[in-house]
Amino acid sequence: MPLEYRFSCPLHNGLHARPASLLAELASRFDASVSLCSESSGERADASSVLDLVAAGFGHGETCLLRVEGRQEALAYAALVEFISSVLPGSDSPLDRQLTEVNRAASLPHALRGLVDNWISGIPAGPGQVLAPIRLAGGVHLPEHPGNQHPQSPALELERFRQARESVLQRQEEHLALCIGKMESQIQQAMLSLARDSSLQQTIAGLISDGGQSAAEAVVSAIRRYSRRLAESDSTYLQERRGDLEDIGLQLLEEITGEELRGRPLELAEDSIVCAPSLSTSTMLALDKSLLKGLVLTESGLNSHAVILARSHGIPVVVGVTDQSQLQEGTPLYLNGSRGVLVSDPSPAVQRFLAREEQRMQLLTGRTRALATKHGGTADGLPLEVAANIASPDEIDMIAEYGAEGIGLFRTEMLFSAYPQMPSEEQQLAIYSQLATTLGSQRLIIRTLDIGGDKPLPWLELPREDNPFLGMRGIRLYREHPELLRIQLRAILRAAVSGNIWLMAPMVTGVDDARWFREQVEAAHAELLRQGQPVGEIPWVGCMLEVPSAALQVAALSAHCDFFSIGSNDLGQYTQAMDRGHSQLSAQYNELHPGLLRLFKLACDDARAQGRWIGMCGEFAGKPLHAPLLAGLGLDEVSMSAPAIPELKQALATCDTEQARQLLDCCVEAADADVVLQQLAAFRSGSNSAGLLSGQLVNIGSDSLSRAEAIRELCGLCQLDGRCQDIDALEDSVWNREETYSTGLGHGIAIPHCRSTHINSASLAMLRLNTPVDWKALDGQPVDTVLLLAMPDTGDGKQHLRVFARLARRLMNDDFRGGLRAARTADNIVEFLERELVPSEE
Amino acid sequence: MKIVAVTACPTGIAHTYMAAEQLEKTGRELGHTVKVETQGAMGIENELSPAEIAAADAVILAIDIEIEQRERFEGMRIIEVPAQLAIRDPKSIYAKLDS
Repeated sequence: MPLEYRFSCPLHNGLHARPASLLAELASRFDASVSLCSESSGERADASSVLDLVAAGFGHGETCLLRVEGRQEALAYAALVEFISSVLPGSDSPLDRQLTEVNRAASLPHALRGLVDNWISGIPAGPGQVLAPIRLAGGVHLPEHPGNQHPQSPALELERFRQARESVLQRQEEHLALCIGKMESQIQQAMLSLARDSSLQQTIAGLISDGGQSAAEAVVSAIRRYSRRLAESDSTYLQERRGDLEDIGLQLLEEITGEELRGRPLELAEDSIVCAPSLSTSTMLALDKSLLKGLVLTESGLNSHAVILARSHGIPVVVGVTDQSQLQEGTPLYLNGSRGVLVSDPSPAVQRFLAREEQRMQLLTGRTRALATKHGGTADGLPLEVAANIASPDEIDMIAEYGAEGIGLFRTEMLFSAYPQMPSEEQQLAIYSQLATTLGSQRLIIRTLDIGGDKPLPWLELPREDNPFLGMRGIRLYREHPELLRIQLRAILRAAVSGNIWLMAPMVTGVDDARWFREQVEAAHAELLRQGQPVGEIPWVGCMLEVPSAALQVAALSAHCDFFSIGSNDLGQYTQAMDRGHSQLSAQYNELHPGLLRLFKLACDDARAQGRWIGMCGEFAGKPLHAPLLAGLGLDEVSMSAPAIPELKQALATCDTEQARQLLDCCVEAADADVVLQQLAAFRSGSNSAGLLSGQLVNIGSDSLSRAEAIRELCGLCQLDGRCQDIDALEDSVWNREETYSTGLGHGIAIPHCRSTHINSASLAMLRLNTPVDWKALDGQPVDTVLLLAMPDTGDGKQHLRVFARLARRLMNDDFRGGLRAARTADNIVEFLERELVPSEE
Repeated sequence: MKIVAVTACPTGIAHTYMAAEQLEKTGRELGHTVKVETQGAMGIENELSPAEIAAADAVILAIDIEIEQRERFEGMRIIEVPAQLAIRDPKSIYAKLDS
C-alpha cells in the first residue's frame, strides 16, 4: 500500500533546483517509486527527476503530497519525511531570502549627486562596491538548430548520446570535487543532478529511437521542451534555471558534435569586473574568485546561479543593465552593487568616495570579527559565556560564524518529529556524536524530548487534553513512555565520549522529578556498562527551570542536579499565567514583569549558594537591552538564537557587574514592567540621555568635504557602533528630511535628523569638520559642527525625543554653542552634552 | 502684549523646539508675555488653554505643516510664518505685530 505524507512547501522561492536536486538524489536511492503532487495545481512529478520537480513548480506554501510505493517504501518514506521536515526548510540559503530586500531601484550615492552625470543604472543584486577594469565576456545560447547532423541509425545515435552523457557526467563530478564551500557544492550538485536527470534522459532517448532524430537534434529539442516549461513557471527563480539547463544542453552538444560552442573558458589575469549578458553556472564556478571583483550581468535576473554564487563570495553584482554603450573592454568601472550604479572611467570624486567607503568597510569588518571572536563577559571582566540554541544539527556551521561559545540548548523535538517511527538509538547516536565532535571542548547541552498534547509526534498517539500546557508534557510523559527516554539517554550517554555533553530534563516540577530523572540516567548508564558499550563517566545532569515551583526550589533540587538552565519563555508564561501568543493577552504579557525578574534572581542566588552552574536559554537572554539584568543575575551562561550573539556580547561588555546588580535589585522592586523598562533605558548610559551618545559616535577631526559626505560619515558612525544595519537606507531617511529644507540652523551648526526603521536605538552622532562646508544654512554661513539625531520609527521613545527637544532649544543659546565648541576631545563632548541634556530640576 | 504661539515642523524632532525657544526668548526680551505650544513628535506639549487663548492679543503660528486644532484661533489676529523664520529672525515676526 502506498505511503503518503502531506506537507506545505516551506521554501520561499518554491522547490527550485538546489533543494529539488537533494530531494531527487535521495528519492532515487531506494527501490520504490516516489512522486510528489500539488494538491492545488494537480501537477504531479517524479520525485527522482529534478527537472520534473522543478518544472512542476511547487510554490511556497503549496500543499504537497508525497507518495511512496514499492519494495523499499517504508525505508524510503522514513528518509524522505525526515528530509522534508528537517533538511528542506533550511536548504534555501539566507541570501536567497534577502533577495526582495536587495531589489530596489538604482540610485546614485548621495555624496556623488551633482558630481557625476554619466552614470549607468541597473538593478542592485549583490551588495558592495568596487573599482576595477572591465572584462567583457560573450553570452552563449543553445543554437536553434544543431548544424548539419543527418541522423544515422537510432542505435548509433543513442550510443552517441550515451557517450556524450557519460563525459558530461564525469566532468560534472570532477567539478564537484573541486568546489569550495557549501554554496558552491550545492550549486554544482544541482548541475550534476540536472545532467543525470532521468526524465531528460528518457525524453532524449525517446526522440532518437521513436522520433528518428539525431542525438544533437534530440538534445536541442528536449532541452527546449523543458526550458519552455520552466519559462512558464510563476516563479522568476525557476525561470532562471533555464540557464543551467541550456548549459547542460550545450555541454552535451559539444560532446556530440565535437565543436566548441561555449567559447574559450574565461581566464582573468588581474582584478576585474566581468561584464556579460549572462554567465553559465559552469563558467562562474571556473572563474578565479580572487580576481573577480565585481559582476555586471546585463540580461540576468536576481536569481541566476552566477548571481547567487557571486553573493556567497561577497562579490558585488549589478544586473539588468540596459545601457551598455560605455561598457568597454579594459575601461575602469566603478560598480556599486548596493545601489545598482555603474560609472565608467570614474572621476576623482568617485575615487575619493570609494576610498572613504573602503575605509569604513575595513573598520566594520574589524568590528564584526572582534565581536565574534571575543569571549562573553562584563566590562569588569566577569566571564559570561554566550552560547547558541539550535533545533537541527545543520545549524552548527552558522553558530561558529556568529561566535557562539557552545550550545546552551539543543532542542531534540525536531529530530523526533522528523521520523515516521521513533528514531533508533543508532540514528540518534550518529547525530549527537557528530555535534559533540564538531564542538570539541565546547559544551553541548542536550535537552531530552519535550513534547506534549499540543505538539504530537506522528508515531506517538497522545490523548487530547483540555489544557496541554498544564498537562502531560516533557518529563511527565516519560513515565508513561519509558522507552522514549531510555533510548534517548542511551544514545546521549554513548555520544558523550565524543565531546563535552551535558544532559538536561524538561518540565521538572520538583525534587521527585529531578531524582527520578537522575535514576533513569544512572540506570541507562549501568545497562550500557553491563552490555560492554564504551561509555565514560556519567555527564553532568541538570534540569530546565521553567515551572515556577522548580525555580523556587533550586536548593533542594541541587541534591540531584549538577546544573540548571532557566527557560525564560515558559517560566514567564507560567508565572504570569498567560500565553505569550494569546490574541487578547499577548499585549499584556511582559517578560520584564518584576515578579518574573524576582524569580530569576531567586533561582540564580540559590544556585550560586549551592555551588551550582546556572544558565538561561529563553528569548529573554538574547536581547541586548537585557544585558545588565543578565549580568546582574550572575548567570554562568546565556544561550540564544545565533544571530543575536554578537550584539549581546557587545552589550554585556559595556556592563559593570556591581552596577548591574544594583540595577537588578531596583528592578525586582519596581511596580511594573514599564518602570523596569525605564530603569533599563536610564541605565544604558548611566544618565537620562539613555545611550543616545557615546565616544564612538563623535569625530572631532572629520575630513568630510560636503554636506553629503558628512551625512554619510555620520550614518557610518551609527553603523560602526552597531546601531544601524543598512547604512544606505539610513542615509536615505536623513536625506528625505534634509530635502524638505536644510537643517543648517545658522551659527555654523547643522542638525540633520530623521525617524527611521533603520536605526536600532535613538542616537546622537557628531562631527566637527576640519573644513567648514556649505549646508544651505538659514544664515547662508558654512557649517563646521554637525549633529545627527536619529530616532527609531517604532515605539514612542518619548524620553529620547525629550532629550532631542532639549538639545534643539539649547542650540539657540550662545553659551551652549560656545561650550560645545570649546570641548576639545570626543569624551569632553560626550560629557558636555550629557551634562547639558539631563533634564534640569524644573 | 499677550501672545500665544504654536510651533510645528516636518519630523517634530528639532525645529519645533528651536522655534519655540526663539519665540519665547525674543518675546521676553521685547517685553511681551508669550506662551508657546509645541506640536512635535511627542504630541502637543505646553498646551494653550482656552483662557490663555481668549486673553491673547495675537497668535503666532511658526509652522511648516498643518497643525491640530487651528480652529481655536478663529477670529483672532494670526501671524503665520515658517518655523525657520522663527529660528533665523524671530524679531522680524514680532515686528509684524506693530505694523
